[in-house]
Amino acid sequence: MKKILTYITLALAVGAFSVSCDFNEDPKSSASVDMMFSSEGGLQTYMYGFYEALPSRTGVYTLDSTTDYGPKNSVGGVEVGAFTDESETSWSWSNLRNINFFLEKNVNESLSEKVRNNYNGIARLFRAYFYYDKLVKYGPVPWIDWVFNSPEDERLMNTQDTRDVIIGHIIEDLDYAFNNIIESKATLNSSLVNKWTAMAFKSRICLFEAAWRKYHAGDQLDIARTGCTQFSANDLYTMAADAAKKVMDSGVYSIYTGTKYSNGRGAYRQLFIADNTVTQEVILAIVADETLCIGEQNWWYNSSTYGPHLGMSRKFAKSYLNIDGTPYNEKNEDGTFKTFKQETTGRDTRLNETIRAWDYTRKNSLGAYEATAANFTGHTLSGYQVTKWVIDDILYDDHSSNGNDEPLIRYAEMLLNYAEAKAELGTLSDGDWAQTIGTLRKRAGITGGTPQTGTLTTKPTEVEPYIASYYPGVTDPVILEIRRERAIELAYEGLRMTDLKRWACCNLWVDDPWEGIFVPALDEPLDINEDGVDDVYFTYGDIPSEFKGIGVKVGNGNSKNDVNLIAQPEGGYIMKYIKDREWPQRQYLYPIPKTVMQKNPNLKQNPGW
Amino acid sequence: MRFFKLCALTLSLLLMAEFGALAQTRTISGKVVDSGKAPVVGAAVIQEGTRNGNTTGVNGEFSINVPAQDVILEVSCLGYQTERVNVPASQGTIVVVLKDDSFSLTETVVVGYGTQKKVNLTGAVEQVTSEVFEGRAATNVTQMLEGAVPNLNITLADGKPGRTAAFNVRGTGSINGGSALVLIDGVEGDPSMLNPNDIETVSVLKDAAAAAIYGARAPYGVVLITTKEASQGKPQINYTANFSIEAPQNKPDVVTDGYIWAEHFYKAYSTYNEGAKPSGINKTQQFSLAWLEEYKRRHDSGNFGTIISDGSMGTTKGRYVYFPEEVDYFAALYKDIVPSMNHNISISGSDGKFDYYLSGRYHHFDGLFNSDKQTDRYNSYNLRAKMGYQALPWLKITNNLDYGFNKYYNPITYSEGSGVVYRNIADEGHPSEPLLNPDGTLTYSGVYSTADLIYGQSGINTVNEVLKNTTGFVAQWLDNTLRLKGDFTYRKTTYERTKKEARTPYAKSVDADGNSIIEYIKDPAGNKFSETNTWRRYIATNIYTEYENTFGKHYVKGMVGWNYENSNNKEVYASNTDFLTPDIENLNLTLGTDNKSTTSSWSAYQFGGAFFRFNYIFDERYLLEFNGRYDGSSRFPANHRWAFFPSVSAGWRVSQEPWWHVSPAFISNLKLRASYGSLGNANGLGNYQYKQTMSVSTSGRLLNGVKQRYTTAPGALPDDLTWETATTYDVGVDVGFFNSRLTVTADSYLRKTVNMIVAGPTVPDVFGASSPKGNYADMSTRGFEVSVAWHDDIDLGGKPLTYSVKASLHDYYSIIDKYNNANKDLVNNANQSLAGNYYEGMRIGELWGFTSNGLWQTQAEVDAAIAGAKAAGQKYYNPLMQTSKSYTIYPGDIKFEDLNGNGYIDRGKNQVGDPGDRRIIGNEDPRFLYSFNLSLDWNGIWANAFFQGVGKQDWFPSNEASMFWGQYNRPYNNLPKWHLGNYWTEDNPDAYLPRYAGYYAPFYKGTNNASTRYLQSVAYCRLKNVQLGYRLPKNWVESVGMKGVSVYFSGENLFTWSPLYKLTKDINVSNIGTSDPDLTTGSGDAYNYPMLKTYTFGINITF
Repeated sequence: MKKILTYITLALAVGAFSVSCDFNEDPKSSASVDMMFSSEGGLQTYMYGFYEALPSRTGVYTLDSTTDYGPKNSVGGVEVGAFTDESETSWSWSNLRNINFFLEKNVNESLSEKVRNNYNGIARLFRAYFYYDKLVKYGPVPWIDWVFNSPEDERLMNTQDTRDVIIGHIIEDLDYAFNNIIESKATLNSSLVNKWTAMAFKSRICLFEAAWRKYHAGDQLDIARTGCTQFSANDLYTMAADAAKKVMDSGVYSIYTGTKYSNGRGAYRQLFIADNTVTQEVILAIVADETLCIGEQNWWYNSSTYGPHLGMSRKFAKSYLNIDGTPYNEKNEDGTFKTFKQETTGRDTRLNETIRAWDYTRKNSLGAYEATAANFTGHTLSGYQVTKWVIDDILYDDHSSNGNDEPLIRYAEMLLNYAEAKAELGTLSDGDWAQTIGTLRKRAGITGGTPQTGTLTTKPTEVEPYIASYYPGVTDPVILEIRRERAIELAYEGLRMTDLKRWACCNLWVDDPWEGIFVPALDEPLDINEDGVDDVYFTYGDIPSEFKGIGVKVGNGNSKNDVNLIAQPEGGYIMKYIKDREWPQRQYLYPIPKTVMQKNPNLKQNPGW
Repeated sequence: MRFFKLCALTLSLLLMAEFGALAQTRTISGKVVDSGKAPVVGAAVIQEGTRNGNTTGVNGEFSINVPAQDVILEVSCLGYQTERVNVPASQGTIVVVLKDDSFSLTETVVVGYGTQKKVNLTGAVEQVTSEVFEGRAATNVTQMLEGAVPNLNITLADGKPGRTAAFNVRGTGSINGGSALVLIDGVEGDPSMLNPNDIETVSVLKDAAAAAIYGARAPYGVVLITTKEASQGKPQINYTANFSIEAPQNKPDVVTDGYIWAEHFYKAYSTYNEGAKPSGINKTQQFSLAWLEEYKRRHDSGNFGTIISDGSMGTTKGRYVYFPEEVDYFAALYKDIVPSMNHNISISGSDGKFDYYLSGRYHHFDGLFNSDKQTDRYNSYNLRAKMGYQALPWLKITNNLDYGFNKYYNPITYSEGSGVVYRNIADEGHPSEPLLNPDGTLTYSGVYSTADLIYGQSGINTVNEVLKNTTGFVAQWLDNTLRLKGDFTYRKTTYERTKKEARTPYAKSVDADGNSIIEYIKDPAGNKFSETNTWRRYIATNIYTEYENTFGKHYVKGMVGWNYENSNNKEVYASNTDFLTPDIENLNLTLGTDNKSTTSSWSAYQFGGAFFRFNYIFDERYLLEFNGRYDGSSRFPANHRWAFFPSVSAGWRVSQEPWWHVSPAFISNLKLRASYGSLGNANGLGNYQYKQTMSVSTSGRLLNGVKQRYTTAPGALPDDLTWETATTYDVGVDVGFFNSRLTVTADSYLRKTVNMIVAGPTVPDVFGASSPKGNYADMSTRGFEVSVAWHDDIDLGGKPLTYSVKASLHDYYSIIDKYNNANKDLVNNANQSLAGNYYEGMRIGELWGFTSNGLWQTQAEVDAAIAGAKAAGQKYYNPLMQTSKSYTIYPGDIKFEDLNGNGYIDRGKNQVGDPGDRRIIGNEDPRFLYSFNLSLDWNGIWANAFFQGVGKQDWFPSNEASMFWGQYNRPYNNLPKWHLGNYWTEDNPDAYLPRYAGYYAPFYKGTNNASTRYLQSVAYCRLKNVQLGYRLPKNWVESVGMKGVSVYFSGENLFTWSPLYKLTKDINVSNIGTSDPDLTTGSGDAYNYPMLKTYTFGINITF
């Protein structure tokens, strides 16, 4: 019996021993917070996650798809009437939490302050980027620079802070980033930010806010309603100019004019189709790669089913100057319309580097370059087929296959920001003009100019009527020419809608008639690029079987969602794509979604919603 | 299949004869046999009213001295009905036949950490024996248990040979899932890796009181699987073999006539698009009206074939243009019959000290897909070595080694949809395009579907392996009233998966010389190969001691013990692209340098608890049981890591009361039971959910030249996480009628699951993360089980005919009592719980849908509805559902009722209080699940039939359930034959289906637009298993040195009836879940790997 009791005691002792184990288990395949913040490798790993907030490689070249640049076959999406306070929106705050969490935890003193501050600088750069996006979309929003841990935190119910608070913090963040980010040279393929990226963003954002305050003064979106007094428009224009100037003076970046990447496509064009980023000019890029990280530029622009067939409008095409710097006239001396070949001859070279002009060639399936006109049967709605981002090779057309990198911020924008800010401040000199607009026009092959358009070294002194008709209400010839230059240089790069919003001229998107190229005749095969091969056969009626491959059935001016040909009194036709668009004033700002308002009734709805 | 039976009761109360004053005695000698004439060993023979008795020997023979007068002998043995025999003074020898009594009151049931007499049970426990598995040809134990135990719910996702499923007991346990704990010989295990022939009993502990001893591992029931013990005496060798042929129960009966199909494709496309003409049939075939006309001409004249396009008929010059007579993608996919086989051998015996049971099994399924190389072969192997040694009179040591291995090859297609061939047949397998071109190359349709599966090289190889060893001891002292038991288990489970996605060449056109131009489906990833290796190391140990004794009318049993478990899990995944050749079978022969990937994951948990049980029985009448367990789990923060969970149950054997005078011939047993217990739940929760963890993954972006590893902020930490608790109240009754020939067991229960861990209350979005989880939700589940069994034998032709009928019925439903959804918001998906949306008062499985009583018949009706909608400020009467591209409604469209009378069809605020025109139209949870078991045994011939089914269940085929909705889904989908002539036209206004149109939103968006008219009933009744067997007469088999031989025929899933089958038999009612879970995680239903029916011939030989 004694023996038995011994056994039982022993057994219970084993049990008791096990009970005393603390039963704690730590994960091994994921890290603890302390681990992540205890080494520079950890900070770097976390930092790479910030980049997830940037547009994806299949998104950069689509950012300008809702603008006045040209027609597309669908106008849905967030910018138009379909958008209501009940739709899903981009009112997401997880990226901000991710950044604030980093800033809160990056305090491990075993790492040097310089190292920690470097990563804090990057984090704050991305916080500025986050708030800029919110500022553009929603106007004032709550400022948050802490991490919420409890659902009961009272600050969750905060209302919006003023635009002053937001822009003030953005500036503070970017200045901090500039002062603390260690990297000062261009990174590999400009895929990572450096201190100049912070300055470049500062220039972009201050210019946005400056213009918003100036051009929306007095309208229902007037900042006065939130009582902003800290920053005037001129303060912000000054900061925008200064920031741009810092980048210009850094010597790190310059306008690329070389042929290093060239295969005869032009220096400007190389920026968008080069396999590797032209780091001389591109400050930050989204990198694509044919095997690791594939883009879809060709597919998106050159497929009859994929992409919305974003094109260029006649109105915008006409704004490109002639090569000698004079304004373009769409008509010949006899009053007839210029043909497509005439239209795309002797112009600012950026036109021919942005669309399939008469001289456009690309590799066919055998690998040889051959003249290629716009594809009227499947791709283009206006005849001006955009090819800025597209590799000139048919091989890439029908599936994801692009490896050309995609610029997100370019040095050219700094020149334009500087010029615009100085012009708005009234302090732009001829020297400034030559250094900015002059430099860009020079690369575009422009040789001279007029008092209306300015020359390579002198700013304009008189209003050029065509560009003035573009921006009614703007009377300063310098500002007008800078806007022309900005629209052309940065076409389809994702900045246009923001520009239209800050200039308070989103109506341009609605008002553009979306006209296309001049079409000499109906019911006969046409050789648009004059290479000896028929490109298109327009008809109101049925397409004869021999022209099935190039036939386009068009309307005569009434068919919505369709290509039309409008007969001109001067003879011939102008293509026109008809689609309903609208831009009520309230759309300058997104509505705060209804569900968001329900969760926090202290938020104020944006005007008109 | 019982050859002789040893009476388990060795009459421990050996009786001392009381002869004393008796002057004259005589001797009665006799023999006790069972109904099969086999001797019954160890039966007690007692002179009634005395303590005078004896037991039968090895030949069933006995002798007893009794007074020289008429006496009554009472002959009893466990497992048999007790017999009273009148022996006149003149008679000296007798033969007593004992009737089998498997439903007897002395039946023993396996319960947690022990066994218990069934009569003494106070909890809800149901046990089945090896009979469930005998003669069955199904692949694994899980499949065989489907429907076998009331309220043990097993839902198999499809008919794949190795398919297994989680075990559920008594319905939805928790929002977080709640599977039953499955223990094999007392240790957690995977029943699908177990040899079915090794199983002795399966015991299901349903209520909290029964499961309480397992504490927080078992809030939602326990399934105890016990393997066979060594047999007594000389070695006994048993060999079983069965050979089967299998075939799909359901194969889609779709239109294979290419022209009829193409004509309907065009109709579906152009009706929806209001006249527009398609230019292609999805991706793979070019379409024009000229082609369709030519096809019709050829169809009418019987001139079929393939031509090469000259550029006419809207086809590209050089492309193959097909005019096939008929193409049957499913016929090409499947073999007509699949052979399979099973071999099992066991040897077992004991020399009194050392006992052993060894077994091995081989199972082979030859593959359903019609290809030698690319078929889905399945092989499994089992080995068990179980031994015990009585080392000391009071100590027995045991070892139980179990090894299981299975291997399955799952061919897939390279194309879209994760390689699920059914999805690709639906989307690209057009009967208007053959599988092969005239020169033998694959066609475009072929390479997307059947042809790629059976001629391609893509597939997944999986190998599962488990090695488990349990070493234990049993010590007993004080005349076996005090016992100490302990065991230690080590188990290693490995899972290997290699996946090859190899592109297959095909041709859609020819070059100038007329040769096929070889192409590949464009996908940037190209060929891809991956390997996944997972291992899990698990140890478990139990030690417990119990004391059991009877003091007069008081029976007491107490147990106390300790359990500890620890599990480590690791998975390594590696993948690469570009193959040396398409035949490679290992990652090392991939050549890619740019798209390699390697990941690893690791997790572990610890679990332990101290437990006790106390039983008290007074006078065989009042039964009482207490259980308690103090549990700890590494899944909880330190302050909530340990918790105590108690339970109590009681029983009252009314029929044992002295005042109970009902004749046993009428009511032989009556017991009332009640139980209450509260158990925590540590299963189904993340291992580290209370910790902030940061996982590292690879970015899709190129940063500084490489795809960097990156991390992001962890989610918000739950504030205070504690145990989810399930409290079960159970009342039950066990009744036996007519000397226990009829038995009834019934239970009714309520289970309240509280503090379920779900997302917290809605927080303003600036929080920046999901609302931290917490113990925020409650639910209750109510249900019942009833089993009725009749068991008897009658004399037929001088031989006993034993027969039994058993029927069971169970039901349950669950209601959400608390959830963070203050507005009771609904989601568009009809089944709220499937969409992860809950609200207070919601019933799990409920379907929200629109009411539809018919089709619009006249334009005037439509116009009136549209006018009403316009008056209400709406553009359309039904803005939610496009039945045509322009939202225009036409006669023949489904008519939805405007229940809220606002003039148009809407979802209101999409809240329970304002659901617009939706209402609850049905419920997708199965109700009233039942089974019937019939068995007969006569003169060596036996027959069994097992039916199971579901009494009520609704189903609305989900979005893109293309095998049900056909071309209403996408115009280029397969066309079920039952659609023909069954859709609305002006001449056929009473058709079931609406006017013929593709992308038809009420179907195409399926569960978002569920409606009453097309709600299906998937109730069913299935003949799950039927057997007919014959035991060869003993004298025949003994003459060739064997102990027993039997042969049998067995059929699995031979017949199913369902209301759905009135409409279509294309879809199997028990196979309506989401698509192949091995390949995808997500939606899709209506057709999957088919359930198989099986015809088996088997033989069982005992040496």
